[in-house]
Amino acid sequence: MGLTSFLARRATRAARVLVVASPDAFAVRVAAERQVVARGWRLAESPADADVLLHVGRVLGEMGEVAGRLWDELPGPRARVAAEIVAAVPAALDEAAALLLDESLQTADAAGRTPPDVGAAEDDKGMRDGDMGHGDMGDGDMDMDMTMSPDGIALASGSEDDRDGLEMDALPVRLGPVLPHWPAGLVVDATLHGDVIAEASARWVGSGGGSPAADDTRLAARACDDLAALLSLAGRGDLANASTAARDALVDGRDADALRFLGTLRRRIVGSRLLRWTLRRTAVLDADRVRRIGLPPAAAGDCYDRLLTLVDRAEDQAAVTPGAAGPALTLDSLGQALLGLDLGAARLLVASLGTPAGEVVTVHG
Amino acid sequence: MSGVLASFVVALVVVLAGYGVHLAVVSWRTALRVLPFQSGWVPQAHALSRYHVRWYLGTLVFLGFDVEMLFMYPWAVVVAQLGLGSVVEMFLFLGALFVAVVWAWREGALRWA
Amino acid sequence: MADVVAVSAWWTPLAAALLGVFVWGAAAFDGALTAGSRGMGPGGSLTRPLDGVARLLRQRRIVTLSADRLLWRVGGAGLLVAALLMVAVTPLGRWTLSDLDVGVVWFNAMDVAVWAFVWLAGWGANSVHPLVGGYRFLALALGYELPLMFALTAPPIAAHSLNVGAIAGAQGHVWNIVWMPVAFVVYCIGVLGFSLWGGFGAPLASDIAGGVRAELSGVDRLLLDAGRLALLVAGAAFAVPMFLGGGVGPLLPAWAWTLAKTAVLVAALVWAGRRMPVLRPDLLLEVGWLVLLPAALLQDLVVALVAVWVR
Repeated sequence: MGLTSFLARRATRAARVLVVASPDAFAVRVAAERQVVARGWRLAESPADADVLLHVGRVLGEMGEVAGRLWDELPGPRARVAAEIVAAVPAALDEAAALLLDESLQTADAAGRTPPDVGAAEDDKGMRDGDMGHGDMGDGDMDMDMTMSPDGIALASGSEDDRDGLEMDALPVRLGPVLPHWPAGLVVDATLHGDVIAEASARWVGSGGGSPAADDTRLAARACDDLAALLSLAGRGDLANASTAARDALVDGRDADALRFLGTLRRRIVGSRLLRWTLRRTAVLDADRVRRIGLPPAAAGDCYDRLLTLVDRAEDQAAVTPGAAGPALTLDSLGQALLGLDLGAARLLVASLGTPAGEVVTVHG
Repeated sequence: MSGVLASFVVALVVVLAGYGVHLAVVSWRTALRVLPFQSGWVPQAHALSRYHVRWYLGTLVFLGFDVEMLFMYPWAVVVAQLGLGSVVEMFLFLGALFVAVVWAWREGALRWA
Repeated sequence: MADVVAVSAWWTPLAAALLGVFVWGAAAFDGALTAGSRGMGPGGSLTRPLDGVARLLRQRRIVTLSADRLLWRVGGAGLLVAALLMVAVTPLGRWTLSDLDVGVVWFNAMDVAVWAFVWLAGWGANSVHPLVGGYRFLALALGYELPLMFALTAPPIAAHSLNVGAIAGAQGHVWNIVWMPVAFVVYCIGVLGFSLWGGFGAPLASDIAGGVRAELSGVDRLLLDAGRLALLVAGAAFAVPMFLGGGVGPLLPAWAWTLAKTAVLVAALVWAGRRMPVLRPDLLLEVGWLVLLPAALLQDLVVALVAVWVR
């Protein structure tokens, strides 16, 4: 039918891509993000928002299971493609576009989809009852389920020790490895009171035991990427795009351009009073606490201080000043730093610390 | 009032038309049941729970001031006729309320981070 | 007082179509600005919203496990309904769909209904990210709503009426914005607030994976996105009779001036919103109550004194 294929063609020009990136595939992820933008596509924020699931690097183990579940959450029309190396990115996205346009394939895919299998979780800690009987696609019947675990998922239960002494529920939530502007492969197991993090512990998945920074991309490009993530989370997408442009220039070896971009970006960041106002006093870590929980000294201060530190680091490394590596950061200290913060502040904190660099990362579990 | 009613009807028609066009062009008409998005993991608990509304003191202050708007609108219509006296009365009232707001602020009711 | 006449209800579809045109224009302008910040030209911007609309119309809808479907969908579609109900009391030049005596209060009621809609859209999905987004909106609304209400009161004090047409007609040669600049600025902040635009985007922010939108796909997401822009447009359109002299202007007819002023304000709001970082709700509460609210109250005091004086 003419209209359907017309809509399909228009729709594919605005495709959104959910990236599942292995932590050691920085260069491939950058290439994928650049290709996505160059096509007029956009990165998706959640699977409901996505048409394409893109595996970047070698997506293995737990990361592979995560990718599988995310794939089940894409509404469709959907396409799943992979790029293990930089050179494979354009072909993978071409393939995705072709898959999205294939009407009969998409219809067959939609017809064969099944409801989610909650029991497939390998880590359900015995919190669910044994009743997984939810095999049909009908609407409404699930709401009649009066067990303690509607649809096979437990209800959140009361918290003993709320911060304000109020009675409410503690909600277990897992953040990462796939979230917008989140370090690839980082997982934080958190307990939320409302949106406040009451407990948190961090670990890496999917890096195959190696450190997440172990590829040959320049640290300066990483610093620009960290900066872009923080600016995006702070809501300044335009400044984040400028930082991304500097990152791309560094990846291409155009160092002079990158330094020029960064100079302009610094002026724009410093010139934005609202940005300063909203990041000042956010996720403050005083020097004492930083030392106690084992964060690097450069992490002290608020998110605005750390933003300026990221700008400095990007500029220093782009100018090839030796020894300006990212801060040492252990997972234990990260988990402790998140305690008591609301989700928004926690996300800003994680981004403002930058990607933990190189050899100093300890990999737990 | 008929204009408002007509707007409501038209708005409903627009919404229904959106769903209608969607049903006409979508590849599969029934909604897909999915897990809630939690970074690719199976949620350990339902998200709907007793939520920590940390700004509830702010909501109480808001309610107090919000009720004041009931007086403000009729007052706005007649203030010019009633003259200076009504201005003094209203702003004494507002001033008293605002003193309460400042007090609540000093007590930390507006800070919840 | 008869500056505005109520037209037949049969014109309502035209008003809705006009709202749709403005929403399209705002989306196109926003897209062009995004392309600009990525170093690409604005070519094709006018038709680019079609790509996104086609994508969402063609995308399958999803339902999360144990979602409250009814309330979830009511919330998602509600923004668009609220926007059109705002337009119902907004005169286009000399014509209005509904010449309510309490048009300003009606507008106020609709913008408060947005509280419920956004929260329901976040709550209904039974998913943590939308839930947090919904509650974030309530926290933001606590900060911007009262200043907005008091800003809305300033023009009625000057016009001795809550009828939007009468307020537009009472302005004559001096637009309200000239002597109520504070109320105008606070009003515009409120418009950004109830359309979740720019600095008020925390409920939809990427740190919570799109927040209220995180579990919306297909036409459900389309309605929410369109409703949000429609609220921005309706807010800008309502500012024209309230602060910008209504249809007053040289040469062109009144309706054309209304549309032109609306377009300029929509463009300004879209542009300004993109230059703002996301405001943290916990910071905004204090600013709303200790800066915006007293500023709006003082503006009302000045307007009231002038209104008494002139009388």
